[in-house]
Amino acid sequence: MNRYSIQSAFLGFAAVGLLWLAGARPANAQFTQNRETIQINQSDLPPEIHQAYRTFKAKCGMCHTLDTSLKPSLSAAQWTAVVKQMQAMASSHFNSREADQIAKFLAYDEIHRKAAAREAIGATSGSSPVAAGKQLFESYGCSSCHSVAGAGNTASALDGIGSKRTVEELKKLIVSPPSGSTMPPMDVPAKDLDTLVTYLLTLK
Amino acid sequence: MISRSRVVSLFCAAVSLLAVFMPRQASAVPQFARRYNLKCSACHTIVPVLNEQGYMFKRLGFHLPPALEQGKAADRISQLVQKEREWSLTNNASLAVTDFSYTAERTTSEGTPPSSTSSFQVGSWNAYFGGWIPDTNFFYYSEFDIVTGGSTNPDLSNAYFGYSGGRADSSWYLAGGREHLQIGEGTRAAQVYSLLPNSPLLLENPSATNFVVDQSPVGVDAGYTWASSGYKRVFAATAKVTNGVNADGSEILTSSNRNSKDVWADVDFWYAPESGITYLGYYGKKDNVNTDPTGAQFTFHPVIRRQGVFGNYMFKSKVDVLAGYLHSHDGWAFAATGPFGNFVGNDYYVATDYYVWQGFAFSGRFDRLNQQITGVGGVGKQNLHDWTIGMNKTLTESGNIIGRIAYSSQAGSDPVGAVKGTDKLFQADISFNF
Ligand code: HEC
Ligand code: HEC
Repeated sequence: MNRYSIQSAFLGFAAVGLLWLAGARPANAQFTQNRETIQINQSDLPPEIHQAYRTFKAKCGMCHTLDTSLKPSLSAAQWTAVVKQMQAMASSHFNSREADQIAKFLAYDEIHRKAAAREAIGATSGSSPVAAGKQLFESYGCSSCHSVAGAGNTASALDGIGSKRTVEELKKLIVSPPSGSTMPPMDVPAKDLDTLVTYLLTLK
Repeated sequence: MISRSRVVSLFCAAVSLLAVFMPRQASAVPQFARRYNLKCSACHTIVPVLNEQGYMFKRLGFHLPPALEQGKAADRISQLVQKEREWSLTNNASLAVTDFSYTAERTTSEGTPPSSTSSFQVGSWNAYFGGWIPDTNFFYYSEFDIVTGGSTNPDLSNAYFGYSGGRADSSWYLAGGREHLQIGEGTRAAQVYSLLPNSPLLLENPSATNFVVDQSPVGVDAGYTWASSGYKRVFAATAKVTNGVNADGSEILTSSNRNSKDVWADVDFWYAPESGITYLGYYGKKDNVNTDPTGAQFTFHPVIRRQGVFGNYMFKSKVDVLAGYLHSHDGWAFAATGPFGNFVGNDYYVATDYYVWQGFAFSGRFDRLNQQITGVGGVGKQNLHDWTIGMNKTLTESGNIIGRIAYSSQAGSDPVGAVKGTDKLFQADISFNF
């Protein structure tokens, strides 16, 4: 073992360690972005959905985290469209039967787990619509594409949106984004939409 | 007596230690994963081996291949550009460090005493800068190798600039600069990067003229790519003209009475998921240096030709079976004034990668290279064979830290002097990409 190789091993190690410790974004992002934060309680799933969940887990976690699909709220028709879109990506390998299964699980998850989570938000933060709106922002998965104050996906920051848009504009942008937009129309019922927009308006 | 379980646990401890302390030719560009919030496995089976998506990503000028849904018009490259994330340094620069490697090698060669070496850690550090110029179809890519094989030896191995146009399902690009042949990136079996530490002999083993397919001279290339809906079939063709290096890949530093020129053609067809065939053709005239029987060095200008066919088939996303054939035909001079002959080589390899699950694979490869220099003074048919086995395991969910162990055994004789030799090599390494 020569001196130079020891030196470069040491330097390499030190560089990795320093970047890691400093929490430098390039180093850290790679480690944190792919953590799954949402756990599905499999024992709650009826048998046929359980099978569908396994297909979902095997096929939809290859390129991005399952969170990408478990966070946003979309209608059943939108999920079917997303799954069809994913099936047409290069290197995604599932057939139409598996695609149906996956869409079935996602629709089920929408009306059970996701709905229950939003119910709970209404119950715990009833007094403050802004706090509830903030939680709904998470719950509807807005943060998988948007960030607020640096938290979430910084590709599209919504900071200051409150002073740029009116209530009506915001509502429209969320449920029916302009055609050609990469944002999917979000399936947010009127009550939640009010709360969500109340929160967005505070982002000045 | 040591109990069996003790032996097993010692063995496991040794293997896991090695798994943590492992030389690798790192090539991963994690800034791209970062750009889209994707895992490495979106574009690689296991880094650095590209899957079809990674292949398409490259062919589209470093834009994510969009879904190609039946009946829907595919996005134009200029539309993909509009949808790109905001340009940022972290989305354009990255670092790969291969460190903690352990190698043990034993070589024998007729007429010289056998040698055994082992070294703990041969590091390699590569920095990458690649991406797109905001709001334009221009792209760029550079790879700067800072440390190679444990020594600081800065080398700009890639630096090119390009433009891509057309639609995602029918696109073209033009690029120029210092570039590896592999910018054209054949299908899986033709890639220089495999899951094993060394490429198949036919791609990287120097021939009698010392010419290897994987060089990075300066030139221009053009490519066209067609894809059917869902990328079920992909057809791609690439042509490249380069200039400027000797047969052995070194820069021409002294005066040369001829230019070195290379012409490359690469045709790829992906016919099933993750399965494709590649035809590779090369023609070049190069400077080459040889030693005559009196021991004096002379320069000659052989014509060098390569033709190869490579293919792979992926069974059920689990078992990848790969094979390749490369034919070489180069001019050869025994002395400056002759006699002249030809170097002829035929290389064959077969390999299997078994993906136990995502990010964990066992691989094996057998390679045989038959070589001969014809003409007065040739030493007759010689052959070299090599088998290698290895294991790769990703150590993070993203897939950006990878541990690998591999063992290879090579035996045969060289085409120039017919000197017999063997080489047994054990390698273990770990690479960090971010
Ligand atoms: C071959 C890789 C791959 C597979 C497999 C895959 N995705 Fe995706 N997914 C992507 C890419 C690439 C994007 C787009 C990222 C970007 O543009 O930022 C994406 C984006 C998404 C989005 C964000 C919304 C959008 O339309 O941009 C959702 C939701 C999603 N995927 C769900 C799924 C589901 C559900 C599955 C399983 C059926 C799945 N993905 C399987 C690659 C994949
Ligand atoms: C799949 C990714 C995605 C999801 C999920 C998503 N958005 Fe968006 N959204 C975008 C993108 C991309 C844009 C901006 C550009 C565009 O229109 O294409 C956008 C635009 C917006 C805008 C307009 C911003 C402006 O400056 O005009 C608002 C407001 C907005 N989103 C709110 C939300 C809310 C609230 C949610 C959750 C209910 C949400 N988005 C979920 C991707 C997403």
